[in-house]
Amino acid sequence: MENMATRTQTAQRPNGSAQGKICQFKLVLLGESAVGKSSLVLRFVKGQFHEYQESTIGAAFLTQTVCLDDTTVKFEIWDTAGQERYHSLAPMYYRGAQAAIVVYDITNQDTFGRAKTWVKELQRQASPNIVIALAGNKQDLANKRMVEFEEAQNYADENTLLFMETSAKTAMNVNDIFLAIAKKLPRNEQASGASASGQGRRLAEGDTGARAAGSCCK
Amino acid sequence: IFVGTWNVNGKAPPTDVENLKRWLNCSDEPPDIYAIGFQELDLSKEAFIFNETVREAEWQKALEWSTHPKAKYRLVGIVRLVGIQLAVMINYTHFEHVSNVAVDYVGTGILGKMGNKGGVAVSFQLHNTTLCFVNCHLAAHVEEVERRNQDYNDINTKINFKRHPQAIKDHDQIYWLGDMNYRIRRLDTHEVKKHIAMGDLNTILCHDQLNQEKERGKILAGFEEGDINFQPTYKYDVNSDRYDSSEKARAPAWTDRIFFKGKGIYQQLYRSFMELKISDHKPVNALFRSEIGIVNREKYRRIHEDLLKSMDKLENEFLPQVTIDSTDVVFDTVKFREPQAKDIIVANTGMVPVDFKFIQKNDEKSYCKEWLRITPFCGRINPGEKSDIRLEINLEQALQSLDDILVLHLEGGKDLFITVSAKCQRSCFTMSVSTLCRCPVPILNLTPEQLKHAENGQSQVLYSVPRELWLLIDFLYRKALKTRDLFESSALHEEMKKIRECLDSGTLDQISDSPYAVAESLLIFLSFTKDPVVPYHLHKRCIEACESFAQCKEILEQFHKLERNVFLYVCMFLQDLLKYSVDNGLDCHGLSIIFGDILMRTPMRNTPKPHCRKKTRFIEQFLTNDLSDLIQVNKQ
Repeated sequence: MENMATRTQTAQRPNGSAQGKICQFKLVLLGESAVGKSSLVLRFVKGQFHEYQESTIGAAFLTQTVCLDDTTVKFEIWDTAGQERYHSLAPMYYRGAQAAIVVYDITNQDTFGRAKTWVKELQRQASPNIVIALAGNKQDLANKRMVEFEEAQNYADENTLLFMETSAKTAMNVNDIFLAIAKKLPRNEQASGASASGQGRRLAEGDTGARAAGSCCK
Repeated sequence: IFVGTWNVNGKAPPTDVENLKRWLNCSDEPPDIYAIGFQELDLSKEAFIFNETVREAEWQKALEWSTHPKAKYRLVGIVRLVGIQLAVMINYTHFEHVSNVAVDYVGTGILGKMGNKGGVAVSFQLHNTTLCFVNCHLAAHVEEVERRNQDYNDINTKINFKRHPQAIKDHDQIYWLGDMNYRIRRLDTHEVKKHIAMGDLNTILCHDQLNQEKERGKILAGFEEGDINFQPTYKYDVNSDRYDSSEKARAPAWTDRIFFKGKGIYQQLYRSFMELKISDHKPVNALFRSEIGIVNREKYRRIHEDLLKSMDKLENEFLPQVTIDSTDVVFDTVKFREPQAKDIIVANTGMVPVDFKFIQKNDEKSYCKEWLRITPFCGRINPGEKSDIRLEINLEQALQSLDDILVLHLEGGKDLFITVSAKCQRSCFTMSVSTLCRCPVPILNLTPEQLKHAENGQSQVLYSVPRELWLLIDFLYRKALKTRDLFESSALHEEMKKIRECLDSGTLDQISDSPYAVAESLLIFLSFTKDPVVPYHLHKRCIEACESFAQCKEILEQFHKLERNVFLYVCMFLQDLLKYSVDNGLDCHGLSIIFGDILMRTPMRNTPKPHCRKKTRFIEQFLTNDLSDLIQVNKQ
C-alpha cells in the first residue's frame, strides 16, 4: 500500500507500444478564493462536482494522466489556497511548475483583476517557459456575467495565454483546458528515467529550483 | 518470408543472373522479407585477415537485381564475418513498420574471433513482432561433430544485440540458416550415392549427424525443420550436378539447412536449387508464412487509457490524507515571558500511514518563527490514528502581534496551512532605553500617540535613566545591599510576573517582597532592552581596549547619552554593592562576568569564549576604577 502512495514510477511499455513516452509535469492552479479552482480539479480528476466545496487551506495535491497522440502526460496538480493571507506561500507551488491555470469567476470582475496580477507574478517569477492558461470559470452562470468573453480573450491574446471559459459544474471545457495545456507543453526533453517520487517533486527544502522542466521517460 | 542459404565457395556472382532470379522467385506473390545467407563469400587471405572483400557489394548487387519483380525491397540489415554474410531485405511498403534493427556476429575460429567459421545475425522488430535471422558456418569434416555442436552453442549464447531483445532466444521468431556442416554417419560414399539414385532419402536421413545431435538435445532445441525432399546439397563438382568425383570422394551430405522457432510460422516450401552450379554447394531455400503481430492502435489506446485512469484513481485514493481540528490557532493576549500552549489534533483519515513534517516557507530559515515551538515538528500517524501537536509561544521581543503560517507537509501528498496568531501586551521589558526615558507614565498607560512619539524620539527626554531601572535598583539599594547570592538564586515566576506588572502599569505599592526577584528582574530588564546597553558596533573596540581604563573611558564617550547613563548607573550601583561584599559575598570578577555578558550581549547571544573574558575585563575596569569624574561630566 505504501508503495502505491509514494509514486515511484518507472514507465513500463508493452513491446513496441504505440504510446511513445510518459511526460510528467507539475501544474499549479492560482486565483482568488471561491472562483472554483478546487472544483475544476475535482471535475477533471474525479468527474465530480460539489455545490459547497470546502475552502482549501493549504495546497491540495492530485495526479491525473491524459493521453495525447504519441505521448502520455501525467499532471501533478497543486491546487492552492486562494485566500489573500496565503498569497506569500504561492511561490512554493508555482516555482518549478511547467504549467499554471489562473482561474477567475466570470460573474465577478474583481477576480478577473486578481487573475491578471497572478499572470503578472507568474511572468515575473515563475520559470520563463511556463505554460499559462486563463480559465473563466462558472460559465454556467453566464446570465450573471460581469467579465465579457472578448475582454478576457483579448487580454489572453496580448499575453499569449491559453484561454477558455469553463464550468466545473457542467464540465464544459474542463478536460479541454487541461488537454490544451498538455499539447502546448514541450515534450522533447528526454530526462533520465522516472522523476519525482514524493520529495523530488517539491521544490521547497533547499532546492534552488534548478530542476529540469518536465521530465520524460522514454 | 524467403530464407535462403548458400555456400558460394568464394565465387563471384554469375554474370547471368537468370538462375539467381529463378532461385529467389519461387512463388507468384512476392515475399515480404528476404533473408539470404552466404558462406565462403570470399576465400582470399585478405578477406580472412582484414575482413574486407569486394564480394559483399557484388553479391548484394546481384541479389538486388534478382529479387521478386512484383515488389521493391529495402535493406533492413546486412552483417558479415569474413565469408559469412547475412542480408535481410523487406518489401518497402512494410519498411516503415521496421524498428529496432541490430546486428551482431560471433567468430568461432582461432581466438574465437578471426576465422571463417562462426555466425552472424540480424534482429529487428516488424510491427509488434521481434524477428531474428542467424546465418552460420560451422566447423567442417565428418569427425568434428562435437566441434560443430560447440560452434552452434557459442553462436546461440554469445550473440548479443545490446538492447532488448538481447539474445537470440528472446525473439518472437527465429530463423536459423547456414552451412551447418553436419555429415552422414556410418554410410560410405558409395552407399549414399546408391540410396540417392534410388530416391531413398529417408535411409540416409536416419544417419544424418545433425538430426541425431538435435534428437540428443545437443543443438537447436525447440527448432523445427521442414521435411527434406531434396538430395544432399554437398559436395558437387563445380558447374555440374555430379557429386564429388575427386580422389577424396566425400560422401554427399545435407550441410545446408534452414530451421525455425516461434509462434505462427508455417513453412510453405523447403528445397534446394540445382541450376546454380558455380559452387560445390547447391543453394537451399525455404518459404514461410509467418504471423506478424500488429497492434490495434484504437484498442491499445483504449486499454492504455483505461489502465492509466484506474492507476490515477488508485494513486489518488492512496494519497496521504489528514484532517486538523483547527487550522486557525488564536492565542490569548501574550505577555512578556509568559508562555502559552495549545494543542492541535491531526487525524489520519486516509488509507496509508502519513509522514508529516512542518516545512520552511520560501526562503525562510526555519519552519516557524522564533517565538513559536512545535512539538513534535515531524512524525508518523497510522491510518485511523491521531496525533497531538503542541504549539507553544513565548514572547521575548517588542512585537505588537504574533503571526505565522505553518506549512504542514504530508510526505508524497498535500500541504496544510495552519495560522497561528496572538496579540501582544507591550511591556517595559523589550523597550529601548530611549523610549523608556521619554515615557511620562507607565508603559501600559501610554496613549498610542505618546508611545509613537516616544519610540521615534520625538518627545522630550524626561528621565536620565528609565524609571523602571531606577525602581529596580532603588529597591536593591534599600533592601538588598547585604543580601547573599543576589544574582545567583532564581526567583519564582509569580514574583517575576508581579514585578513586571508593577513596572508596566505603575503602582505605588512596593514592587516586590523578594530581593532575589528584583535582582533577577534587573538582569532580565538589561538582557531584553531593544538594543544592548553597550552599542553593538562598539563591542569590538571595547574588547580591544579592555586592558586600559583610559581607552575604555574614551569608548564610553561614544555611547548615546542615555545608554551611557544606564551603563554608569549600573556600574555605580555594582561598585556600591561591592562595598558590602563581606555581607553579600559578591566579588568584582563574578559581577563583571554576569554583567559583561548582559550589557554587551550580541544579537545571537553566543559570544566566543576569548571575547567573554575581555568583556568581563571591560566591565571590571568600570567596577574597580573611580567613576566620579565621569559622573561630573555627566552632570554638566
